[in-house]
Amino acid sequence: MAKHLKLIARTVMVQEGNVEGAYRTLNRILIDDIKRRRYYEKPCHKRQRESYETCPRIYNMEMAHKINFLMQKNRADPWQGC
Amino acid sequence: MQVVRRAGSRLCRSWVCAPITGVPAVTIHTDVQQLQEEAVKKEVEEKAASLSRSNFSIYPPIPGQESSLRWAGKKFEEIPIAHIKASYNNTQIQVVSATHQPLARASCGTEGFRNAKKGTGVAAQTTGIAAAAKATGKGVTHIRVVVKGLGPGRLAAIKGLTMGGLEVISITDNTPIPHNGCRPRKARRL
Repeated sequence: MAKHLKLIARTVMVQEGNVEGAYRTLNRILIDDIKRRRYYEKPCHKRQRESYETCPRIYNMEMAHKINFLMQKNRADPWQGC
Repeated sequence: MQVVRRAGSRLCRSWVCAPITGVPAVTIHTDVQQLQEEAVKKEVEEKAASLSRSNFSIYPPIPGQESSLRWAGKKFEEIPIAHIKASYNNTQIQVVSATHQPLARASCGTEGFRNAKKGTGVAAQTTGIAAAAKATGKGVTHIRVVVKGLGPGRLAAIKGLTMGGLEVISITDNTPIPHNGCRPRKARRL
């Protein structure tokens, strides 16, 4: 009946019982999706939320790109002595 | 420099608030050689640690491929399974053998909780302890946990199982995710 093998997908092995935290971070995206599906989200709200979420995402990616670029060179400390 | 890159990417504010966090900024730029030596030392330590940890992988052994992992002499496929259904109002646990024979069943209702109290982490933990006690009575030591649902008892039930004396070797998430199937109920207006 089940077309996929069970207990292989979305499975995390536990090492001395302290991988529950890693398991949670593994499932973070899935959990957000499940929370959103509990109640119906209208397409207009969904489009508004998607555009609202892409703004900080674009900014963070560009900023990380800029920082990585700037860090390629050793520069004098601009705040030395503070 | 990699340390600086990571710190910079996480805290963009450090560029603005450098005067406030003056101590790390000063050490970063004035002692470049010291930083490089520290980075080398950290890499060496990480390699040593990873060598000791390299035998462990977070992925489960697949039935088709052979693996040397054994728990109490049993292979991964022969270990009993604990199904945890963590709904928003209740948590139910059933321990089943590898051949799907029922071994132990417990829920918040069977533990004496009523109505709203069933949907709490405390109730889930006591349920886990009770299910573990019943399962150890039937000779179970290691279990694979399968969690379904996103309720308050999701993590508490696993903790209860470990507190009751069973050893969890793997956690599977079997929450039903529709690929845009049935339309859920309307949004709550608080």
